[in-house]
Amino acid sequence: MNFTLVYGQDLSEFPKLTNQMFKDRGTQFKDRLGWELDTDTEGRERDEYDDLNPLYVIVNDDEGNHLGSSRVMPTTGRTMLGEHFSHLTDGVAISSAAVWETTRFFISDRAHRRVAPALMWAGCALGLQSGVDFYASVTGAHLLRVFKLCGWPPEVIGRADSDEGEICAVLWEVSQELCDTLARKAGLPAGGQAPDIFVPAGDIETKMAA
Amino acid sequence: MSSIPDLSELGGIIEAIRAAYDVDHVTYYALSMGLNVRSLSESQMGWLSEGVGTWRREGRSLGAFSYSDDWIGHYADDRLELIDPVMRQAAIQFAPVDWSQLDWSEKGSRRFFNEAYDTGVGNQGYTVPVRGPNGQFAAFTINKTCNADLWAKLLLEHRGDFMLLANFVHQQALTLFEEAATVADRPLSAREKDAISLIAEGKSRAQAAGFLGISENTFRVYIDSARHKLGALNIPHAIALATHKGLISPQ
Repeated sequence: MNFTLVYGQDLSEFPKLTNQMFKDRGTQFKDRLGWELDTDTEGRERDEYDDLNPLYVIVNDDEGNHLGSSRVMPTTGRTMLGEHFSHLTDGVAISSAAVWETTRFFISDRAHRRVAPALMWAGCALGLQSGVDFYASVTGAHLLRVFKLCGWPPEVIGRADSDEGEICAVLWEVSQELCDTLARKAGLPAGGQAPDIFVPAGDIETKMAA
Repeated sequence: MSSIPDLSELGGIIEAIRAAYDVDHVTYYALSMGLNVRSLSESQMGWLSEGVGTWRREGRSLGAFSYSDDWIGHYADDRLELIDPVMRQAAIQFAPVDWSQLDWSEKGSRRFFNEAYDTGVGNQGYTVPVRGPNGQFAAFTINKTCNADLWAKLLLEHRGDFMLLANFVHQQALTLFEEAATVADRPLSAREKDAISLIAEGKSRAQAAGFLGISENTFRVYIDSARHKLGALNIPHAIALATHKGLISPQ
C-alpha cells in the first residue's frame, strides 16, 4: 500500500493511476450511486473542480493501481459546498484558512479493508501538518457508517434528501489523536509524518545558467 | 474591511509578527494582486522600521521583508523567484511548504540556499502560499536559524497561526487597492452575523452554539468563516468590523 499525493497539474506524471482514478470515479459516483455526472467516452468522470489544481490524496498498490482517493481544496477559494450545497450549512459559504474541503472520497473495488482508514489517515496527517483544523465535505449519508468504522466519524452539519439519496454536509476535526487512531486501523505506525506531496523534477540548473 | 494607509504599514505588521513568534525573519511577497499591471506600476521602496527590513513595490509585485536590504535587492532585481525552490513549490500548491522537505541536493539549489544563508536568511523556513480571485498569488514566510528539533516544536505549536496570519497579511495588502477591496468583499450570511452577534453579547462558544442549535465545532467554523470574510485577525477584531459596517447592532 502506497500513498500518492499529487496536485492536478502534475497528474500527467502518473498516467495509469490517473486514468484508473477517473474511471473508478465514473463507476462509483455515476454508475453505482446514480449521480448526475458527465463522463467521457472512456467512462472517466471529471468536473469543473478538477480544473482548479486540487490536491489528490491517493492510495495505490505496488503496481500503481488505484485503490482509493479523495480531492482536497482550500475553502478560501471556490468550493463545491459553497457553490452547490450551502443549503446544508445554514446558508454559510464556509471560507476559512483553517478549513479544507474534501470531495470525491471513495474506495475502489480493488481495495482491501485497510485502504479506507489509510486514505483517511493520509488526509488527517496532511491537515495536521499544514495547520488545518477541519475538513468540510458533502457526502452521501451511506458513507457515515464507513467513516465511523474507520475511526474518524464526522459531525453532520446538515442533511437533505436528494434524487441520489440522502446527502449531508459534514465536518471532520483534525487532531493527533485521530491520526493515531486511523494509523492503527490502517496498520501504519502511529505518529508518522504525512506522506510527501509529489514534486516534479526541477530544471534549476538550466535556469541558473540562463 | 479595515484598511492600512500605505505599504509601510504592512511592514509594521510583519515586524510585530516577527517579534511575537521570536523568529529571525518574516516576509510577505505578493507576485500578483490579481489587478491590472498599471495600477501597480510605480516603483517604490522604503524601510519596514528604522533601518531594518524593506518593503517594495515593483510592477505587479509588492512585499514586505525583514531580510537584509542586499538580499531583497538582489532577489527582486534578478527575479530570483524564478529559481527559488521555495517559491517554485509554493507557486504550484496550497499546502504550506516546510523548506526542510524540499530537495536541496541539486547544485543550483544548494548555491541559492548558501547565498541566501550568507546574507542572513535563516536555515529553517516555512512558507504559506495564499491565493485569491483573478490569479492573486502571495507567499508568507517564517524564517529562523535553529536546529531541527526547535524548528519542529515551533511549527507544531504555531502552524495554525501562520496559516491564519498569511491570509490576514494578504487581506491587509489588498486593502491598499480600492478595486481589490470590491472583489474581495464577500457578504456574510444571516447565520454568520448571528454567530458574531452572540459572541459580541458575551456568550461563550458553547452557549452560542447551543442557542443556534448547532455543534460547537460547526459554530467554530461559522465564526471563523465570518472572521475571514471580514478580513479580521481575531474575533474581537471581527466584532468591531461587523459593528462598524452595521452588520450587527452595537451592544
